[in-house]
Amino acid sequence: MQQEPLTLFSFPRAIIHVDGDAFFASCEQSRNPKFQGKPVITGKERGIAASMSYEAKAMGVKRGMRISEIKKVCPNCILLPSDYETYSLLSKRLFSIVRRFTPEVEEYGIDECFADLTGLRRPLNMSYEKIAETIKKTLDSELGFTFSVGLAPNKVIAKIASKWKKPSGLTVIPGRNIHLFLENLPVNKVWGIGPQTTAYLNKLGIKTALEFARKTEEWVKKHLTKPFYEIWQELNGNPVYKIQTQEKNNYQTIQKVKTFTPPSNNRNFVFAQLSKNIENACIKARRYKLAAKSIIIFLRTHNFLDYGIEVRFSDLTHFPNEIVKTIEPAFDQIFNNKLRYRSTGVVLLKLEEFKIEQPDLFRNTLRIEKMEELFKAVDSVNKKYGKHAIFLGSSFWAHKFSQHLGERGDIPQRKIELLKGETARKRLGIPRFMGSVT
Amino acid sequence: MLKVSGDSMIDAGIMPGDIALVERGTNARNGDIVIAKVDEEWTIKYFRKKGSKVFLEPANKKYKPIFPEQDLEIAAIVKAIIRKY
Repeated sequence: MQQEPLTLFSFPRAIIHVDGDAFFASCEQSRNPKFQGKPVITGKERGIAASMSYEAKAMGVKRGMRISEIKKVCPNCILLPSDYETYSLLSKRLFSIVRRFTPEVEEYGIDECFADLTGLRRPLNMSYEKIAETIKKTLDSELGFTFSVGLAPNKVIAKIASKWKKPSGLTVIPGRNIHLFLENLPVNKVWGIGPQTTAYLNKLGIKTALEFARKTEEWVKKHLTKPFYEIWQELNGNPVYKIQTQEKNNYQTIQKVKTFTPPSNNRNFVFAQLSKNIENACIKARRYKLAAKSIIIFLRTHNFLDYGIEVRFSDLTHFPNEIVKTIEPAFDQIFNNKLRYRSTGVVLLKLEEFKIEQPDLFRNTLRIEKMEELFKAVDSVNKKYGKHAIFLGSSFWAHKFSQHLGERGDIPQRKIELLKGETARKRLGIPRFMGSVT
Repeated sequence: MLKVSGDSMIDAGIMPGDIALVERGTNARNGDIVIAKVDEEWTIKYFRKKGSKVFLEPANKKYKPIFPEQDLEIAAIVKAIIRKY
């Protein structure tokens, strides 16, 4: 029974999952020869490790580790502030390289994607294995660091495949070999099975992914909900999940959180931080033509206690000036000048499509139209001169100082070494090699 | 893209302060201007191939060609030079 394949079809569909190896740290290593072969960690501005190179992982640095701890386990590591501008440029290149092979690409994260290769064997004159290998080789050489690729009949198995061998792995799991890979895989390693479900499955006597896959359809339907039935289907080699090629243009909520150092008990400064987050959230909401019915604001103290409150609006809005005015009393309710705060955050809730409606008795349509015009102008100025070229007076104190004073205030190298014609807010959208070039 | 800081390619018309547009992931051919990794620094030089030997040649009489001891790592090939005034 253990030896029996779960399915006899090798590739009813051919799905690959591409995953960057230590993506942020690798981006840094690939553009600066001084960092190659050394433990590199990004996330300095957040005070924690966001991404670690394999050299740093080998020293025992884990994601989320605090700077003080990192320095203990890995005193010679190179700590860098995140340069999201460069990471997203390289991320775009990753997707466009995969799109050279197939139009069906799902951008699943900044450093990973799924792609459907079904039916490409003849036009590309290569086997699926060969296509996956070629994609990997192209990525490795054009981006200057390595990727792990998994090829399988569906997304769940492809994800297992890309994780199988890291870094720089290429793992192929045809349908008839799935059972060999699931045999010793703990069930919580399967994409979509979280700690709750794992605990539940363990109670039912299921420890490995194979034990789960071997259960009968009736059993799964009886004990679990639909999403897990779908995962069960995929583990058995049936493609259920489609590749989502559309860009995400719909959000349930929009969240903006920002930490600052040193922690502060200055009411105006903390309020300005919150105000800036509101502006950022509104920029995103306007970009997707969404407006919120309600908002959660929260403050986090230096010892990680959260204070939050929800505020409802009388009308849908995505104008920061309105929101800031509305939440100010609520802010004063939760703000305590005896505490020191390290971050503020906002979550826009109950998002709906924003449209200017027919005039009625209560809605001041004319005013809303004027505001819409105003913020269109603000957005276009900011597009030309950089984000926050125009900002609200209430955010002033957050712009007056850099977000982090002291060591954590380091700015990415790319933002310091400007080319002629570049400004602090506008730079060429091309990844740059760093260090001196003689 | 990178910014040139040295004068080793001055006779090829590449001045300090110039911006080089480079392409990663293509094989260098004899005579290409390349970006290579030497002693933990990027360097911009002519890529030369004589028989089975490869070396990096500067375009400035002040400097000598570099003969790599181990593997030579070519990071990219220079496609264009931009100079802003």
